[in-house]
Amino acid sequence: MIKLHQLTKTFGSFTAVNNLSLELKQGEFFGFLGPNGAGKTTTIKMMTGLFAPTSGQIIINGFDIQKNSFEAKLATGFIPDQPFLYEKLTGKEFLFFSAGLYKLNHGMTSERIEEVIDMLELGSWIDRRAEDYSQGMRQRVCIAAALLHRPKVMVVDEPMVGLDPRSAHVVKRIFKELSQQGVTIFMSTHSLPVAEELCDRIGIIKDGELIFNNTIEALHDYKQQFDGKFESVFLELTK
Amino acid sequence: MKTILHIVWYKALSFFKTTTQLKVASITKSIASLFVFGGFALAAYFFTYNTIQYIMEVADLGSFLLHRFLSMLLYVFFLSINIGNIIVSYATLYRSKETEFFFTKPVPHLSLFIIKFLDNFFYSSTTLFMIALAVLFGYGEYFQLPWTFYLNTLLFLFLPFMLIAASLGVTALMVLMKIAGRIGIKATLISLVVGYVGVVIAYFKLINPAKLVTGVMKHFPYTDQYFGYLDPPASTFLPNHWMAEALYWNLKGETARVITNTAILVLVAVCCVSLMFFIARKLYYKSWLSFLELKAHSETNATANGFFSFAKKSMFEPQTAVLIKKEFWQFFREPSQWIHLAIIMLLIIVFVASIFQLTLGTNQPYLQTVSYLVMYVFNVFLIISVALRFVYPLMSTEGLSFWKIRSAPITLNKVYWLKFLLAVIPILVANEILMIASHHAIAHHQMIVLTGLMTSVFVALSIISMNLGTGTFFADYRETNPIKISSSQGATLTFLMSIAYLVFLIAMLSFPLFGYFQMAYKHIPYSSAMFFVSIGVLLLGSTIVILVSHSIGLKGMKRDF
Repeated sequence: MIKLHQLTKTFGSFTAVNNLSLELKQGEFFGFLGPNGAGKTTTIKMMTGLFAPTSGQIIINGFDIQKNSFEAKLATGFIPDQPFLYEKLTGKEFLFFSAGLYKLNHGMTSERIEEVIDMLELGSWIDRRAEDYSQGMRQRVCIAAALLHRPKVMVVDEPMVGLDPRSAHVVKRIFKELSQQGVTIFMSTHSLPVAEELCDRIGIIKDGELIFNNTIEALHDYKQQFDGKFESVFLELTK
Repeated sequence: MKTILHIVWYKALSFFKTTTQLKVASITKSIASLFVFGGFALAAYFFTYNTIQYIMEVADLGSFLLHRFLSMLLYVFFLSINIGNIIVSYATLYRSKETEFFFTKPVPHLSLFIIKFLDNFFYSSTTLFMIALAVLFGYGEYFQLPWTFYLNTLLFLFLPFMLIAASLGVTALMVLMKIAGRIGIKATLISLVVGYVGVVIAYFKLINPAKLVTGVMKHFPYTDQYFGYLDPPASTFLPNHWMAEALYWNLKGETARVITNTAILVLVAVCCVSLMFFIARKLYYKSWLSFLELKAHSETNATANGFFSFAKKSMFEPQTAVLIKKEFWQFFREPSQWIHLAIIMLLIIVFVASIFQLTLGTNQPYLQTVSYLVMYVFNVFLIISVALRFVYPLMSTEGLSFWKIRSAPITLNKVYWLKFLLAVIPILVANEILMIASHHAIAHHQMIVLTGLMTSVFVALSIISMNLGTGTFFADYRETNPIKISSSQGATLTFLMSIAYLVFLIAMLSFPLFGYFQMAYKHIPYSSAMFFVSIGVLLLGSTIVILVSHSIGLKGMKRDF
């Protein structure tokens, strides 16, 4: 469902992502970890069309993001690390806006919007302008907007930042359900417990290179070589 | 003082580090800016020199009338600095995140105000100052004035003049913000606009440029005499008058009068700045709190209904529909956008109303040509200003929320062209209204009317393309204030390129126009061949501008976000 092939991104003489290759099957939940500046967000930005790769290929749902960006993006739901919204639009208007960008049938849009509003417990705040929103509310609106068109692939960058415990619980439940329904999720996070709780597979990137890529079961085995904690594995690998 | 210097030092450091980055785009921008700024300064210099030469030697109007016109220009200059400071200081003194940050730190409010005022003053007045400098050199060179003249004028006339305009603007803003806390932002803004328009109308009613010209012409060719009665008493209390007087008496060699007018100007500047600091000490923090309260109480809990409602089915396909609706609400829910638009619309209406009463009743082909060109250039200049203010920031105002569009299944070309279309329609309509109004006086010269209307379409398209193209290429998605975007380095560069295009327009139109008016004057049938050649070159030049601008814009659109 997601295939990254020898993906490289350089900024002048600096290589942010170096020859990254990865393949995710349908319904797989992938946790993408790494220290700050390791290349996580750059990889995600290339996967969502915000950055053009210097070399390599990204295939999403069978479509090359560079050559068939329309089809690839249509299959993707993206949640960025910083939930920037149009400040002068209300949350609901932002959802209508997102639905329109994904060419959702107008008749079904209102119904679907109400559905995601309930799902993420957005309440009456949804009719206020984004300029009044807290970080958590912005994040939840972004998540709602990404779910509107029922994507086959979710690309998520730090989804739990700014969420209160209840909202975080709701979001984790939604992601689990989506994964069970066959949606492939590529999630970057700094939270090791969240990655352990949700993901089927873990990847760790350091200095632009993928230094660990295995299933959660393999990770559990690997942990035993240390003190049984994922944190120790992570610190050792990214040292 | 130590705090002020500490903050200013780090701000300057940050500014120089960002502006001197060795990136291809920034180097290109700097080199291009250097050429365009240099070229523009040179053009302004020659224009001033030649205009003064014309007024003094060809029209023989004399130095008194020259300085009266200069006084009017200075009045417009004064208002530009004043309005510029009100608008920019609203952003820097109140809306800026940096201000919020400093208010949480142990920085005295007055120190913070001084830093922000300097920031504001240099930001909103630099371009105008540079233009004024080039004009000053043209003026000084014509009258063969010594180098001390430039130094004295800059320090003792220009600087106080600009400080008066800026400090009055900023003081007014602080008072208004405090009042707005009591009577509401809408009532305050309406009062401000009405008051401002009133001041402008009153000034020109009092000065009455038409009366001045006709009054002077009665005494032609002895135009440098009998002028005492032409100065309305009210005008003598204005800074532009003192500055023009100082320049005039300097030419006449009357040092005492130069010193008197300069002293008045400097003294008033000191008073205005002191008053501003006094009010800032009392009001700045309080008015900032008022601003926060106003912001908190502003009615924002409304998902829109009506024609532009997102929930309403549109005649357009979904992507186009939501993009149009987003642009609409983003614009009309941002006070700095619609207020500025309202002011500009008001000015256009006043201009159209005035120009309807204008007659080009002279029979001299040269004067007819000049009058027509001045009118045409003014129209184009208005379009340039509107485009710079509203079209140039179109892409930047997407802000960091642009990720949503960039990651959506929509072609970026579609977003770009839709923005172009949304800018073209209203500006083209305004442009044609202006052109029709300004051709009203010469409706019987059908050839000119047709040429004017036709070329103006291409001119408007070129200017809009230039602004959207470069605005996209230099897009700054981190800047949230559209006013700051339209006064950025890239915007200034675009403005100067537009002025260069304007010069090209004048060059293309002046010869066939003069030929036409000359033939009409002599009742000789006019051959339109010269018009065709000029218009052909103009259309070709405009087409190149349009194509290059869009290619730059579309290229900029595809950059990494």
